[in-house]
Amino acid sequence: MDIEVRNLTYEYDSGTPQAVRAVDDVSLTIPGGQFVGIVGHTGSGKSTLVQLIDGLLKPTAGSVYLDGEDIASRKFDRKHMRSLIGIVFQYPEYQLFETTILKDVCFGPLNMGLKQEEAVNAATDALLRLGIPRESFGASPFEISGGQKRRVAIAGVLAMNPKILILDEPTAGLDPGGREEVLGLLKSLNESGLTIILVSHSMEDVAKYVDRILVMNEGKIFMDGNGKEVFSHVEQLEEIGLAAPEVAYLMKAVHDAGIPVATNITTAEEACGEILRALKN
Amino acid sequence: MLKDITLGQYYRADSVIHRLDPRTKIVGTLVYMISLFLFNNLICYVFAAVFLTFVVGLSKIPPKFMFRGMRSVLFLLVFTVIYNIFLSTGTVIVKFWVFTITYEGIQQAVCMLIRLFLLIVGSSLMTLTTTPNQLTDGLESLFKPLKIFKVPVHEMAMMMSIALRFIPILMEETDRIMKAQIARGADLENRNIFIRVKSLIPILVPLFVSAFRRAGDLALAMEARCYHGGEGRTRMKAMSFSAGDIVAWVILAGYIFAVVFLGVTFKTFPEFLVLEMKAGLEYLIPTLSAR
Ligand SMILES: Nc1ncnc2c1ncn2[C@@H]1O[C@H](COP(=O)(O)OP(=O)(O)OP(=O)(O)O)[C@@H](O)[C@H]1O
Ligand SMILES: [Mg+2]
Repeated sequence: MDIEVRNLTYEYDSGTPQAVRAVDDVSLTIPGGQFVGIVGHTGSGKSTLVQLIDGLLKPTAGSVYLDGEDIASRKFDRKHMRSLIGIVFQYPEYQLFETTILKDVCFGPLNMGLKQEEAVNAATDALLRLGIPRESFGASPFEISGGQKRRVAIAGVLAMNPKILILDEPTAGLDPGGREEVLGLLKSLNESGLTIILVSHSMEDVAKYVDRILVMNEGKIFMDGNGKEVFSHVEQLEEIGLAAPEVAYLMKAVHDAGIPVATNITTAEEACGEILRALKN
Repeated sequence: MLKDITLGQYYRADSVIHRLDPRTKIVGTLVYMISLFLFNNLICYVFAAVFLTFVVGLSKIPPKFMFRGMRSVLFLLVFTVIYNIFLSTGTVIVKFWVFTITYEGIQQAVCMLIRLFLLIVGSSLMTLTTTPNQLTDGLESLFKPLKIFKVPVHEMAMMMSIALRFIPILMEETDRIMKAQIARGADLENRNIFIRVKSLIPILVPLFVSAFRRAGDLALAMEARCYHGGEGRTRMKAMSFSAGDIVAWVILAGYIFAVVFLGVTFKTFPEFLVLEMKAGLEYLIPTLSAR
């Protein structure tokens, strides 16, 4: 499943004096199986871009192609697309409505035309993967904590067994352990072949997990590359209100202190190895 | 998606009309509406229309926006005209099949059409140039005398402004929820009415949950800031009449005077127009029924 975006533009309140150009002439290709991170400061158009990719917003100009097919074309099977692309929204707790967690997670699979039994299986599987214990499947989704709601919401999308999974800030409101769990799950899903698009504010998270980082600024793609490439332009990132991961700064300080370490390091594990290596020599 | 439905369709612009005190605008609109019902005479309407055109011109609102609101009431306008033309009694002009068109009917229809049209344009001018919050502040201030009768004016105004404030928020939220459920395969475009109604549940439940949560949060936040109702409360943006308001009042007074003058001088619907219309219809209708 390749995604191709060509000259995509989206304006909110188009044609009124309040018009906001949230996505501005963006073109990019995401090949199947890639783990892509989208970063950018608040209001840079990340959420808008991912909604355009899923066809939930109609572009002001430009088009989105899924395996070469224009998703806006009349022949395109949108229902089928919904089962191929799963999207977890920035505030996923808004999608919970059923009386029990299990039923809620079944909603997607049932809409996809699965039988009750299959849907329950898919839902159970997804919930367990997100660390929701079997005992709480019967609980009301309104009576659990914020972080648990988020997991249930992610499970609700995962249960649909999509080929492409888009997540808008999936780790907001999770504790550090929960973050690692969810991101680790995404990584393993990616390894099993899913394309993952992760919108995040956390440079640490994207640096650690993704293959490719898209940096957005004022509706445009500002940078596009792997972690090392992107985080080597610290000054430019800082200009648009972002920063490199903390370890990058740490390594720079270590380097400046006279210990010969490489400075193009973006994750804590790498940094650890590099410092040990430098100290041993 | 849902954002197209706007209520309190404020149009941001910097004009003398926008800057007027909301009270001036509310009273002005009210007076204008009453003036439309004072006299049943075309000359008054022409004058009222000219006056309104002048005010719309001052407001810097593009005519496109003025008429956007008309679309929703088009049905009402058409219905009024048909109702009046065909169902009034009086001097018969023409008769065909079961319909009779009367002299008085046409007169009524034309008057009602113009009247409604001006009424709608006039009131949307007010909502286009005044933010909902200004409106409630203005209303609160105008209704203040009712406090003597123990009417909780401030509380009602507060409720109204909160409700108005929440409409766009809830709209946005509905939009968000709809997108999330569509992404999960909810079928909101099905032709089958039962499936459609059923598909509203996944949208309404989260919407209500979040509305109640928001209401609770807001109440808490207001209490935390010691809100206790209207007694002894001052405003951040105090309303005050400016020189512009005085000019507006003077113009308004002049307008009322002129309307009353015109209404008393020209009592009837102009005879010549009716004769013209009669001639026109007498020609038109036999031609149509001949086909
Ligand atoms: N429903 C809307 N109506 C009008 N403007 C909007 C709407 N949603 C977003 N915008 C505007 O579009 C721009 C991009 O918004 P978007 O939500 O895509 O940003 P974002 O990168 O996801 O930000 P965040 O990191 O805060 O989630 C912003 O300027 C925002 O004000
Ligand atoms: Mg966002």
